Amino acid sequence: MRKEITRLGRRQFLRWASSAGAVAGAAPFILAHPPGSLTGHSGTEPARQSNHGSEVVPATAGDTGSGVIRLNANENPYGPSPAARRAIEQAITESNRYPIAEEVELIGVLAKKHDLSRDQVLPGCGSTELLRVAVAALASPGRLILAEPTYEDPIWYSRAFDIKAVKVPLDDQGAHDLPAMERAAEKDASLVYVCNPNNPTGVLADGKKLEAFVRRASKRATVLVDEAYHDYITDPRYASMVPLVAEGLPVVVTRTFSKIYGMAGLRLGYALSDKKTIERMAEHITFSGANMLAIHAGLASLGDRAFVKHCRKENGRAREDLQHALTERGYPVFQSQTNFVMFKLGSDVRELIADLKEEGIRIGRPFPPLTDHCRISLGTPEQMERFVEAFDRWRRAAAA
Amino acid sequence: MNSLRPALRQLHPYSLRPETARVRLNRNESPFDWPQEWKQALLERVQERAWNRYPEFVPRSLVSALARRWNWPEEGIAVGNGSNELLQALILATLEPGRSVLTVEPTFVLYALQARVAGAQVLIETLGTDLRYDAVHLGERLRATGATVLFLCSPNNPTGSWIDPDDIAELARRAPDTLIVIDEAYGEFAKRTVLELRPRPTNLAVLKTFSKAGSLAGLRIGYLCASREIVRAVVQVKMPYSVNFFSMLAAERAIEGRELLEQQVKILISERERLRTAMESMTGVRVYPSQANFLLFEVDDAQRVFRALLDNEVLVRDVSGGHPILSRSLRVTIGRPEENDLFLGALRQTMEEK
Repeated sequence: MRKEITRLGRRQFLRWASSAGAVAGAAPFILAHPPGSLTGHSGTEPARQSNHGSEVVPATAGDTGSGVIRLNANENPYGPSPAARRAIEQAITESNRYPIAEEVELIGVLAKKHDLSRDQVLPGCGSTELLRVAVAALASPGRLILAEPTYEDPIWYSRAFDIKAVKVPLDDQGAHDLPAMERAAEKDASLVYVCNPNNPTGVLADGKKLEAFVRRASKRATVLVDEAYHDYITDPRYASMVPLVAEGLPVVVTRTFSKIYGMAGLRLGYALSDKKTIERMAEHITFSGANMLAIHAGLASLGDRAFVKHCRKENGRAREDLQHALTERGYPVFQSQTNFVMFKLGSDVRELIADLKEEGIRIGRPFPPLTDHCRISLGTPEQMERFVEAFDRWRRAAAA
Repeated sequence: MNSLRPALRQLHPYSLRPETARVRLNRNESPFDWPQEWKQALLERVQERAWNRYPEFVPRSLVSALARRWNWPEEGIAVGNGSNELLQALILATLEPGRSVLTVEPTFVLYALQARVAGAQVLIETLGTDLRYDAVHLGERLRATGATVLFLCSPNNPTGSWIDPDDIAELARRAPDTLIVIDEAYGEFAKRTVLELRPRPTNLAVLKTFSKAGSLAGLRIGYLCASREIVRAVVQVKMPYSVNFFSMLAAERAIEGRELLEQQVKILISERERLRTAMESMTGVRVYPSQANFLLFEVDDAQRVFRALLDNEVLVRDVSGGHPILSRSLRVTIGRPEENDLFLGALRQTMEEK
């Protein structure tokens, strides 16, 4: 790398003949009687105006974007972090190798981050893979207990593995109905899945209540807590269930790099649990499911706290703005702690989805049974503005 | 129009071409708009104020916030309607026919333009082919010419190069009769600011702005840090009440929200280095190191690449006509990561099409 600065050595400066010694207090460069002096408003003529006034300012155009605005998949509009991008560029040359040492490094870093031992960490191809292996390894024999609606991966995999699932409706606040889930778990439960905050409603489970629930439920079944949106949460009532993993309870916590780290396309996630459970899950995992680029990007992302902080702030702002805009327009809104917001549209959401698609805006699909609700992933301020404008046009057209 | 001064007829006014595109990386603005809640809080403060009253003659609370921010004496700070107003005031306070000013090329064009408007002789040093400042050479030229004022933009627009604050201290010490004006419009993106120098050189004037790292280009507010004597002279010639209270309150809010703004600067610096690395790997592109929020790069045919980028909805600044040394150069402002990606993609495609 080239040196950027021409630095002066003292010796080089000595080549200059010294000017007359500095005169303290005197500033010979200042004019004694500057033109147009306005002291005391007695100036004879006003100071000349800058030519800057002739600047031709380009008309403001629409902002960035490749046309389609994706507010449908809870992705991070800002990610991946600059540090991750650099890491990926550097890692490309290593992609002829299996990422074995790199995976070991990642496990070490994650173990340290969560204060667990290395054999309590299992990386995979997105947290989706960890959900799959959890269902495959832990749900049979017995029944999978989960909310409805919630993140659908576990139920898909339960069908693939022919495992019986018991769906427990959310409460009217869009939150997990923990007492009802506990009752459902009393009989033949093998795996209890809690997505916290819940997708698609975005609603958080109260930390204390959830911890008590997990402690009791984990006596009968493994509890799988999906903390995909962990870094977006700002509500102090939140509690991660990682400390229960540290206690050695049969609890699995999954995390992902797809959300605040903005790496949805790179596929990296991990599970944390007790050593025995991790061993059982590892039997079902794909060899090197976490790829070279993803691991390098993940490691770099973990070191870029400023980016996470920035995204959390931007997301929090977009969330507040959107919740406010919707409430103002009279729509009941679930209290989101994630990077998406769900509200009650009051009519079949498929019409809105189709009409906004025409305008180049993708929004969340229907989530039965909440098919009159609409889920909007949070984008950049410009994207959110475009959504609200399009939504307002749609409402006017629907009312006409 | 016989009343117009003949000297003005030879000057070209400062203006920008009106091109526009979806991705605008041409004006060295911050890509981050202010948070909505900042705007809201600012509007509330503005509503509390009486609009029929003049703003404060000296914006006391803003000056003291700036003094705390930079550990600089309050009497050594003046606030203006953009740092350009203070530049003009500095020129009015120091230059007249018979006096001379030393500056470099290529650099921000207003120094030479305004100095000529004031009737001063403008002496130009051309940067070397590496576009870096040569502090030793500048020092020698100052001594040889006896220039009243030295204007340096550091980090420099449009080259991105900078002059180390220690070298500026040495220049100031060696040329005590010259006013050393450092325009730090892009100073927040550099490794160090000249405001950190101790002892503070008495013949140093530092121009700062909220337009770049402060994300307030639209509100026109800048400030000057210098000795008490220089500031007193500047206040004498500056227009009174030139800063409206809206902009003053916004600047105060920006100082309060320093943490966020500094995070944004960090993102832009790391984006700048990412872009530079990526551009370095492209055939036919030569990119210069930068301490600012933009990068200068050379291509075979600057105008062709400029048009091709524009066809891809990416607007950069064509600086190839500004100076012979820049005849193959374009300047790109660092934007948000996704804007930078669009730029990189468009540039890569353009260079491959050739």
